[in-house]
Amino acid sequence: MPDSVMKSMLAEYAGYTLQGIEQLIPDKEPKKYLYDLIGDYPNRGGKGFRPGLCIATCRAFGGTLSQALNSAVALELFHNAFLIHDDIEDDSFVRRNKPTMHQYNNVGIAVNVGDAMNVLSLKPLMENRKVLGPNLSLKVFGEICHMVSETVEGQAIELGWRKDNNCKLTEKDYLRMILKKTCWYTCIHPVRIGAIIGTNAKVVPSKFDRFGYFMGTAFQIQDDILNLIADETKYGKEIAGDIIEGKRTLMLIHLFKNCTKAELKKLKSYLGDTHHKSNDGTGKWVLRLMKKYHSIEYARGVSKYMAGAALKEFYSLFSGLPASKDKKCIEDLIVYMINRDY
Amino acid sequence: MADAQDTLRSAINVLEEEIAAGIVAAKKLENKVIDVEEVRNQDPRDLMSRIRRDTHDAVDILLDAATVLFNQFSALSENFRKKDNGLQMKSADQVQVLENEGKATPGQQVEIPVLLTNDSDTEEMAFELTKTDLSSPAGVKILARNITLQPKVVLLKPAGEKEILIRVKIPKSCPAGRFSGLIQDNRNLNVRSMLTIEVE
Repeated sequence: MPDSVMKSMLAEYAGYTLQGIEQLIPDKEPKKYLYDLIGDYPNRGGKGFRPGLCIATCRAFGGTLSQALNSAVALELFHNAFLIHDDIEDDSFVRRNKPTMHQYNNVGIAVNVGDAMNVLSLKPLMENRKVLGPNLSLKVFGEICHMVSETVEGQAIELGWRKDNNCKLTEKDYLRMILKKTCWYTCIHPVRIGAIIGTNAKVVPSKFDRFGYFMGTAFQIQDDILNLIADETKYGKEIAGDIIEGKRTLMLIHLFKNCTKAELKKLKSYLGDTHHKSNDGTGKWVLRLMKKYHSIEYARGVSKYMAGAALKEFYSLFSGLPASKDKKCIEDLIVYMINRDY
Repeated sequence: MADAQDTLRSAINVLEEEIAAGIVAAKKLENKVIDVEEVRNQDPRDLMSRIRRDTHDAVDILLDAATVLFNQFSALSENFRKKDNGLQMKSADQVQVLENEGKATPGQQVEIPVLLTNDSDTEEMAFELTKTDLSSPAGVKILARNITLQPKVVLLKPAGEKEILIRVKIPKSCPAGRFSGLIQDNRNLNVRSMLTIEVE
């Protein structure tokens, strides 16, 4: 399947999901600092990855778009709420080539909009009762509950590392953090929810955990690599913003392990200084160091290997299903994840 | 390549550890949060009145969610179903209800045969059945000691079925009313159904 077919399928599913979100926004006050802002991040042209994965999995297992759509809408609302809050936590300036919400408003307003989106995502989950019945709806709700709790725990771990300026992290620490912060909500639960709905809960959801985890890890590592080397216009966020924020990526953890003591001391001092500016030359020094110790190549190798592992899991989980565009779309997504340049 | 393989092995270990930790934490939380008797004996109006009504849509959504969860605490399982021997099986909304046919009288022993099924096509399931008191809306109880389950402990092969006989001895002093409680599996709290006896 050419890349363009997979992308157009994702775009189509994203379009339905966005319509679903817009239908949920109440037509009442307060608008200027609440309801008019809810559509901002979803309308900034994201890839629609999570809802797309959910819908495609559902359809690959024999379900329909209308069965999966409420859950897809909830996933996308949670995701965009996380993005708003994440931008505040990271003090980011740009998201998808536009100022972040707390930059063009303020932190309080952005926090509140994120909260509202979290609350609004309950509505499509309630609507599931009419489409899926109460038992299936409750199963989906249980998946979402687990997803959000893992995500906030993962975020807490990563933020705690930054606050404590922890420079003694291992690869295993990273893998645990990324499982919780990213993988459950980016890949594992969208696939699980899609499969639960598509099979009317006949599937054992935990069998998708490895698949989603490997896929999500490949995705996140590649995202972290792009943060350092991508074209800023395509990528949509500040290049090397992760270094400035002190984000504990696999590259940084590799650097901790491989640089000299003197370099580590300087690195630790840089990361511990939360007031350094984005045009500070030290950020570029860190990037040069990563290149010196081949940290980026190392991370790229891990990302590709994880994507390969995800493909292997995919074949064992999905090979028994009839051939379909949705099944092929998921397969191509895995490959796209590591080949993407934005 | 060797490094990447090590990373993959680490990832698999991390996943297994986290899932195990999650299961333990969930069980601890469930033991704290789900006290079925306490929830069942509460007046639902008290529970709802604790949530202030507000014109804000978000609060209405939360209220709806709380109502649904409250109404569904007692019956999520499809594992119990009435044995097809002509007895009526009524359902309230989408709640699984096991009920006697006709009305029982004080002093009578009511028997309700049910079929317990293992939904899994691949795994054996062990059940350890328990029962709660049956309560009426007026707050009168038929105590759990008046209820016997035969057998109580069941091991079912994949897709297996077993007939369970529920016997309820109606106390001689029992007033008229509709008495409800739970039959559930101690090992898997999702396997439960509501038992309802109507006494005249």
